[in-house]
Amino acid sequence: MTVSKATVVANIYKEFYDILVTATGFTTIIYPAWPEFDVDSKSNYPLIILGSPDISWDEFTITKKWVNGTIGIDIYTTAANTCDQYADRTIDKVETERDTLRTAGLSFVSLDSTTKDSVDRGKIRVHIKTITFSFKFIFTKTRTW
Amino acid sequence: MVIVVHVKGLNRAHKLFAQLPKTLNQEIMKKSVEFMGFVKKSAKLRAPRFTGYLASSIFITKTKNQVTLKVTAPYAAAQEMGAGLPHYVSVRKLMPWFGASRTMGAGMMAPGLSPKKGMVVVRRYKPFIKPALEAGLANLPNMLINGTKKAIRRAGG
Repeated sequence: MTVSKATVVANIYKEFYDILVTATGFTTIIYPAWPEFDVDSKSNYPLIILGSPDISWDEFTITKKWVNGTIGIDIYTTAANTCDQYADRTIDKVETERDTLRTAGLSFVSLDSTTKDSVDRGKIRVHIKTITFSFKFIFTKTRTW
Repeated sequence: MVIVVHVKGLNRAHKLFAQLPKTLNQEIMKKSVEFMGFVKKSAKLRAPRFTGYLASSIFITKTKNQVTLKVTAPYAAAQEMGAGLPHYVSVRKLMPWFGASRTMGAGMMAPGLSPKKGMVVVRRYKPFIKPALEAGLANLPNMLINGTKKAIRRAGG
């Protein structure tokens, strides 16, 4: 699948989703948003929420623009070491599939930042790791002159 | 005798100083949005749950130079900052938030207060925004440093 000017957000999401879903243990735990069902017991975790990409434009050349974007991946687990393991798998998977992303049109895919949090939810402690990747995409802009 | 001084890289330095305010502003704004996103997610997880309305009413809004975290649930302030000691509130008053089809019963009592027909116990407050903010503040310096480095790189530094 190739990312195009008309399908930037949707196809970038799909690219990252297709890559992450093939990582070990990720097949049934990736969601686009917080799940509808109650997540108040340990059996509901781990959870991975793949957020929608955020993008902005910059000038590249006279006829082309850069799309600068970031995509966030939230990992929710009930154990801190498991959280780190899933984070490692996520980062490694995206890094090894950079060529696939380049073929789809995404360049300069890079790990932007990670953040960590932990919250007590009822009787369980939830550990959250947010991983943010940045990327660029070039498209030909509509001429107005 | 003539001494000629050549200063190399002046153009590049000039370009850096011209571009830096704009790129810095953009990167700091991106990091602000990222920070508030973190606080929003943390607050949503920390918010006490019964119907889930409080958590779902937490969102962020962006204007050109400002990112604001808002909680629109009518009882959000009381939940965050307290409403006094545990006390009874008439179910009729809370019905618009819970929905007309819900019934209140013994499950709504707090320890020490017996159930009363037609009344709900408002418990001790449980802040959810401030703890989320405190958790996020620990990450903020690193976010800003990374944003500044990116801005300098983008400006040609």
